[in-house]
Amino acid sequence: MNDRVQKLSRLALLLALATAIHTAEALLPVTVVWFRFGFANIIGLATLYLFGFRAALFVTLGRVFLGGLASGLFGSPAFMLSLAGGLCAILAMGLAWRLFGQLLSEVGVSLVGAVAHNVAQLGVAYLILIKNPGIFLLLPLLLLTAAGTGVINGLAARFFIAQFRQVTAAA
Amino acid sequence: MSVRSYMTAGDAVLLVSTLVLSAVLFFFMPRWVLSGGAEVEILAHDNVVGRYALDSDREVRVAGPLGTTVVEIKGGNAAIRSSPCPNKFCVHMGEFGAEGGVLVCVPNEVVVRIGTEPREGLDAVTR
Repeated sequence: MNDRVQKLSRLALLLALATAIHTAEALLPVTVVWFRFGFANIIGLATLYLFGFRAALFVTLGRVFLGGLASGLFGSPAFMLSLAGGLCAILAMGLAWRLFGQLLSEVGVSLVGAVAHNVAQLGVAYLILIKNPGIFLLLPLLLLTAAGTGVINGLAARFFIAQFRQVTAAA
Repeated sequence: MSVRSYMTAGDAVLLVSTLVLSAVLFFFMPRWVLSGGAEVEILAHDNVVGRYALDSDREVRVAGPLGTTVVEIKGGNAAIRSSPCPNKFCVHMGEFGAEGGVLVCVPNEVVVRIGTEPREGLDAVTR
């Protein structure tokens, strides 16, 4: 098979997977799960390792826009929040991967992404939604959840990357 | 299975610094955020007539059954400057700042307080 077609179809699969996870997570009841796991970021991180930064940026932006359409929240403040979070997370992860790729594993890079995601969301929420500095009282709590979700998503991404390589090597 | 098989030394350093930063911010964030960010809420006959930031000086005139009560916000403190009521208790109640407090003029039905009433429900939802 043509290499470019192969890469395109694999990226399309990753994007579809990321969009499905993103949309499914948006449906979790906020009263029970008051923070977001950011599971869709597993796919963004895996794409970064498998296909490089530009592909990961494409998958992340794609899933935010498609997820926004799927959940009917396109253009809403919630959409702006996930756009800012997703964009900052993938930029931070790309940078961490490029600069400290020797020192950090998927777990460390994922941690950087989770922290960037939460900090960006809080900043944008302050700028466009709440405009009360009291919102930054949440920052320590969000850093704590980022530490947890970052590690979990990093381990999940490591597993996903290994599986993906195994399956595509066989194909 | 040791921790080392899950993460590199760099990962561990990053994780620990995130946790430490979070713990430090737990202590310092309230101090940074809650200083000067407070608002006074003014009520006339149980209705909120306005919320004003304590850090900008202003004079608010509130209409009550007896006439106009003048509330002054100055230098981070709120006080009732003048009132049409007979005893002027409210004027003599002095002032309060971000630490909280309440000024009441019963005859003219004016209440000045820190607007910290807890709201029901969520402020916003992220996705």
